[in-house]
This record gives sequence, C-alpha cells and structure tokens, in this order.
Amino acid sequence: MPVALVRIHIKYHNMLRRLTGVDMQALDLPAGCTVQTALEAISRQYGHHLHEMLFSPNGTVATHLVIFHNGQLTRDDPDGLLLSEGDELMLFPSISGG
Amino acid sequence: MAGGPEDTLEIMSNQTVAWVDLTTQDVELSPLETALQGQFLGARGVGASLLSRHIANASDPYAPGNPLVFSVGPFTGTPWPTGARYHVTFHSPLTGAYGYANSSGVFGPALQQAGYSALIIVGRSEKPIYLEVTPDGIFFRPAEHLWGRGTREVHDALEANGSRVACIGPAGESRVRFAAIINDRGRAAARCGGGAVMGSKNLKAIVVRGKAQRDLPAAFIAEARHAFAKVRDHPNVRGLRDLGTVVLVGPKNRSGDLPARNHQSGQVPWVDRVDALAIARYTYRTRGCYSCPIRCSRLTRVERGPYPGELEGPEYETLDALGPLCWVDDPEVILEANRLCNDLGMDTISTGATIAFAMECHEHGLLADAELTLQWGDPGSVLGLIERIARRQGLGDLLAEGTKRAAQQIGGDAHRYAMQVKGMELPRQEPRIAKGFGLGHATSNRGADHLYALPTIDLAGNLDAARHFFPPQIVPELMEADNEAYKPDLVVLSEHYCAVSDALGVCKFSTAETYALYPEDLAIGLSALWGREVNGQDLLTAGERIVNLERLYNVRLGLSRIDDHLPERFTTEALSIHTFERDASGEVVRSASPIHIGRLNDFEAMLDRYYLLRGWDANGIPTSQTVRRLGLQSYVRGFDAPGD
Repeated sequence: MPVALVRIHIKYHNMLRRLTGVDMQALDLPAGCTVQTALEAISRQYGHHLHEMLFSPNGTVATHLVIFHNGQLTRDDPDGLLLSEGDELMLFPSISGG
Repeated sequence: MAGGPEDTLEIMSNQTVAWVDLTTQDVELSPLETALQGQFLGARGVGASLLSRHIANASDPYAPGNPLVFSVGPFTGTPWPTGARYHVTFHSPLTGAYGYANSSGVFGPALQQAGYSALIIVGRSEKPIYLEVTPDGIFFRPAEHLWGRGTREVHDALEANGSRVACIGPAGESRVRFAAIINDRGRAAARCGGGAVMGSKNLKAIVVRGKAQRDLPAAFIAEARHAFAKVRDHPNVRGLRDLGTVVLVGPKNRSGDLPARNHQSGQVPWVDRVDALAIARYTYRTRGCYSCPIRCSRLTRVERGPYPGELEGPEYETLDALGPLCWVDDPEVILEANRLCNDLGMDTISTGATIAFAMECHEHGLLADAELTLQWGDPGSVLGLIERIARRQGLGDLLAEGTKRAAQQIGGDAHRYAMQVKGMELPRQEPRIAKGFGLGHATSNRGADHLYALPTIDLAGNLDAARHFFPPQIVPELMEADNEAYKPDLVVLSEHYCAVSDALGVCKFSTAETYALYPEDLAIGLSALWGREVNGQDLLTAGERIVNLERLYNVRLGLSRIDDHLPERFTTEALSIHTFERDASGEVVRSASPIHIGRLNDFEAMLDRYYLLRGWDANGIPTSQTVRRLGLQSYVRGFDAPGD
C-alpha cells in the first residue's frame, strides 16, 4: 500500500540559505511527520554542515535554530509538532551580538 | 512624556547628585533635577546632559576641569531584572569626542543604594587619592600606597565589609588611551579610555559603602518580579545562561562573523580550540550580576601550566579580540591575556585590536620590535605587548595611543590596518557579514561599538521583534542578513532601545539582545516606579533624544559624515566564507570554493537612509526641526543646526 505523503515548504534564511543554496524548497514527507522529521530529511539531503546548524552534538535540535511554523514562532518539541499538507517552516540560524 | 522645568513631580526621593572637586576636596550635594530625569531617564542620558553642560576644555581630554560622570539609572540597584548597570561619561582621550563606558556587577547598585544617582567628578588631586562614598558623605582618602598597583590588589585592599570598588590599574595611571575602569574585580567600564581620565585626575578608586533608606513602591516590586520571571524563562537567554557569551563563537565562525587576523578573515579553522565547549573545560562556576536571572558570567580557572590563574570571563568580545583576531588558538593564553588586561586596567577589545594592528603592520614590514616577534599567534608577543602598552614601555608607548594615532606615527599604509571608527577600535563583529552591526559601528557616537546599536533582530532570526517594530512590507528584506535596504531602520530602532536600556540601568541581554523584554515592559516598570504613566514610545523617544544629544556634542567638535565611516578594508575587500572538513589524517581543510562572499554593496546608501530616518542632514547633523522636536535647543551651542 503506498505511503500517504504530505507536501510542506521550507524557507531558509541567512547562513542556512548559503549552505543549502536555495531560498526555499518543497519537501514530500510521510503523513504524520513532525518538524523533527523534516529537519532530519533536509539534514540528510544537504549533509553534515547543515546538520551542524540544525542539531546539537547530542542530537537535539540546536538552541540557535529558530523555527517558524506557518508564520508563528514555535518553541514546541519539534518531535511532537505534526506537519500537515501545505505547512510552511521558516528556519533562521540565531546568531546575535557580542 | 513630560519633561519641562515646570514638571515638579518628585520622581524619586533619594536622587542625589554629588559635585566632587578633587582639586579643592569640596563636595556639593543637590537633588537630581526632575526635568532631567523626565527627558533623559537616568544613567547614560543624565551623563550625556551633564557632560554637555559642564565640559570645560574639549581640546584636552585630561583638562582638570572636565567632568568624569558616574551615574546610575532608575532601575539600577532595584529588583528589576538586570538592574545592575552604571555608566561613566567623559570626554574621550581615544576619540577626542564624546565618550562613555558602561559596566555591570554590584558597584552600580551599591552607588544607587548609598543614595547617589550621579557623581560629577572634576579637578585633579595633587596626590593619588580614592573616594569613599557613603550615605553620610563623600570622603577623600590617600591612595599613594595603591598607586602602581594592579586592580586585583586594589580590590584586595579596599573591598571589605561589603564595600564595592571601581578602580584603575597602571594603564589608567599612565594614560593609555583605552584604559578601563575595573569594578567588582572582573567587570569593566571598558571603552573610550575612562580609566585614563580617572588616572589624569589622580583618582585611583571609588569605594562605595553603606545603604541609605529607600522605599520602593509595592507596585514596582510586583512588576519587577513579573519581569524577572519573564527574563528568566525566556528561551532567548538560554544559550547565554548555559554557556555564556562565548556560545557565539562556533556559530559566528560558521557564518564568517568571527573576525580573525585583524579582519583579514572571518573564520578560523581551529575554532574548536576556543569555542564555548573549550572554555567550559576551564569553567568552575557561573555568576550573575545584581538582580540578574540570566547569569551569563563564567568563572574560569587554569590549574597548571605556564598560565595558571582565575578569571571572571572570558566574554565573547574578549575571546575574539585576544584570540582569533591575533590568531591565538591557545585558550590558556587568551585567559591569561584577559587576566592581564583586567589587572592592568585596559579595554580588552581595543587592546586586542591594537595588537592585531601591530601584527599586521609587522606582516607588511612597517613595524618591528627587538624583543617581540610580532608574528601572528605568538603568545609572547600578545602577552608582552599587553604589559608594555599598560606601562608605556618601548613599542607599548606607541600602541598605548590606539590604532589611529599609532598609524599616523608609523606612516605609510599603516592606516589601512587600523580597524577603528572615530579613533576607537572595532568590536568583534564582521561588517561584511553582520551588516547592521557594520553600520552601527560607523554611526555610533562613541566610536566603533557593538553595544551602541546592538542590531540583532535579523541575525538572531527574531521575526517576532521585527513584526513588533516595523511595517510588514519591509520585514522580509529586513530579516535577510545580507540585504542592506533596511539595515538603517534596524540600526535606528536598536540605537534608541540601547540608549533606553543604558539610561534605565539594565543589561541589554534582557532587551536589545534577546527581546525578552520590550520597551512596553520597561515602561510598565518605570510607570510603577515613578507613579506616573510612561509608555513604550515615550521611552524610545527618550532614547532618540539621548542619541541626538550625543551627536550634538560631537557636531560641536566638528564631527560629521566623514567620521561615520568604516575602515576601507570593509568597503574595498571582499570576504570569502568557507566550510571546513577534517580530512583522512584529521587535518582541518577549507572548502575549495567559498559558500558566500561577504561584501558591503553600498555603504553610502545605508548612511543616507540612516540620516534620513533620523532627521539629520546629508552631513549627519541633526536639523533644527529635529533639535526642536526632541527639546534639545538648549544644547545647541557653538553651531547652527541646519535648516529643515
């Protein structure tokens, strides 16, 4: 039986854009996927430099990654936040002053 | 917000200003003018007003009649979160123009709790002295036994029975133009050379003892508790709490915003030797300043080896200035250099940038030393130059003048390697990557400074803050770090918010760095404290007033657009940003192709828009309409503000 897919959109900002080389992309993921699933998928696609920006060495989502889900800042557990068809994630690397 | 002289509201009951004459050893006490608080809030704003009104000789930063103003804000020393900061305002020996330094710890709160909102220190003592500041009066004490001593020994000698100390080291005594004032052992009012001004007055230290009776309104205490929890629980402060400001090192290196080799690079291949995890190996405790829920400060210790010792630090700025900027990759050397700067009493940012300048001059055959190699990364050169600068020995005497003056004396192309604006060395951001910071470094009225604007919103991905302050149509471009179109908008807003933070006496890690608190939050607290309504826009307008007053001070001295420029490296050289890999042998190698080229595309256009938004003319001078709108007419002396 074919796996049902949902299509989401990911927008990359600043350093993340430089590492991926794209402003945004569509991503087809299995229904029931979470933000964590999406981050893992793009991490596999773009390799370890992007992985370092998305995840801490212990495998949790990096503290300096800022995620907006459908335009709203999310601080929820990325592994518990389900994605639906047409959802949009905006990813910012958070590096501030001094 | 009201602010005219007719406003006779008693804002605070114990706001005393002390006029302290070191020549005559007289002290005059007066209440802080209510109108001054209404217009300028406190600390930085009040300092700007007092310096502007009382500057005696702007051609000599060490003229005895010039004031050195210590001031605190209405939140300093209260339960308001991060209400720990004090401000020092003076005519800068480094820039020859408006100067200030700001610091945290517990000295500022002690000054406020002793009952003083400002000390205006003028004159010059015949012999070295220190001031003892108590609720019962201000006393002049001999300090000849402390002259020549490092700041650690001065603290050992004067810090007893709960008293708090701010002092200078040998660098201040020998008038190093970037000498700092060190308080609470490890905190620094570092920038612009306030330590040298203090040294010129033969003032070794200020000791604050005792508490005056002070009743804070219950409503304010309730609001402060609420704000404290808000800051404590805000996700944006987590990284600072967990790892301190050095948490920035790794991410900045990836993005090319870790200045190295005097800004010839924005990255180092050995970042894991100096990043937050590397520093964590030396960290044995964390510390918070007064009433701080963030607690970003690290106490570090090196147990053995050539550089054993303890330190409060390093902060990110110091780590980069004394590390990657000079190509130093040994964290124990960086910690030792930090300790030396603190003990000798020097600004770590200007010190590191000046040493990097010397190293690049040496690289180009412009500078040499008989004893020091001046080679990139040489620990002996870094540590040796710190000692020589502080005591003005050998090459140190030249470098103690700062990069701008040193370059003029060296001649040739040396000026190209002086990373300074208005005479003050750049802090540790890379203007071709952090473009808002680049503009902010250039426009800052105290010379290149990351804390004058602290335009973090784009770099931090703080879309919520962008939506809060800016029209929706500009937010997408504003949030792109590389897009220059709306960086001026970001810098203007951030400069106002930073001025508000400095004037109230709070740390920007609760405000413009993290936006854990917005101006509206601060206004709620101030309304409760003052017993009258103040809103967030009132505060931002006060911030704008302060920035304009500081600009007017410099305009009177002849500063203009030409002084709002970055060193030519940032507008003529591109910066390649790479990724780094470990090869099979474990060596770190740089990617063959850059992933990004950092460059400022049109700095002049950014400056034009910045002036336009500010209501300044094309030469960077506030128009008469702007001066009137902000109620600053009485500060326009010696020049005519341009027409509208």
